[in-house]
Amino acid sequence: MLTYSVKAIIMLSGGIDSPTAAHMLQQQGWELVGLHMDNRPFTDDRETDKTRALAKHLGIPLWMAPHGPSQVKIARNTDSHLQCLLCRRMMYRTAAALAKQVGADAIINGESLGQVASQTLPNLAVIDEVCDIPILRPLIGHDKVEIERVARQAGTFDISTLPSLCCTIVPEKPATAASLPQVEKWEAQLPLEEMVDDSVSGLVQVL
Amino acid sequence: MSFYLLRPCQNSAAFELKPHKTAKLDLQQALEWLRKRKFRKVVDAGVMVIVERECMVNLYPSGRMLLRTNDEKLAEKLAEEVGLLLNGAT
Repeated sequence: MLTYSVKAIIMLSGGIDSPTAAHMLQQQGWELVGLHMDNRPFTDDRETDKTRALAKHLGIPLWMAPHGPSQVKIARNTDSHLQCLLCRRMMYRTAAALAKQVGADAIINGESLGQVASQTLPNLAVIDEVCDIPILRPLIGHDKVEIERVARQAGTFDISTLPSLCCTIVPEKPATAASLPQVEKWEAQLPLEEMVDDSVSGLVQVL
Repeated sequence: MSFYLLRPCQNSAAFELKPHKTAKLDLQQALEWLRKRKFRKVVDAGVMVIVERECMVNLYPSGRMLLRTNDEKLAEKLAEEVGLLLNGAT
């Protein structure tokens, strides 16, 4: 098998999917740097604690950036159906800045198609437009049962399933087929540059 | 108006209070009422607010509330209190 080493940012949360994606690529020899977008107060301390424990278990460095303040600005200034999409685009702007800082060539995440309302093909296409380095999704065609099986093998499942609070600012009806012009129209209502600066300047390496 | 008190999933770190019938909660009025009861505002995101006293509580315009504790007794006590908002407490 032909193998080569890639350095990439893994968007790491305290859930099941992203540590599983990280494990799969580590098995292929990829060098990973974790980034956790700190979503407090919309999540709780247990979510950040779990993420640290997962990064430690995987043996990867971990950075954290504040994300709660961006969530508030998105919620107050845009169409609530687009909250998840605009949130994710903000996360990738920060991830792209960290990639530049640490010399990574790609961003990895734990998204799989259709698992939640924001993870549809039209939405993923809109997310991908936000940065100029590749966003890769090793779990894209996997179902949850398969992902959990790999998570158990990786030893991350028991950490990921400890009690914590998922994001609590998710709209009741998230957009499932957003378009780029629609998203960009709403982003024009946001102080995007200031939001990215605040997030990037808040980046801290915690592991 | 009565409500359900639910635990959304086994590893959730919160209890969810859901009105039996569709409700509409004025979040600004709710904040005022909660302030009088010594709840501290954590964040007002427009589409939802978070307050804190014994634990954090999220309130949504639909009347749904999240009581962010693992302690069932505390969740029941808080539900009785903040549930009054669904009966038009001001």
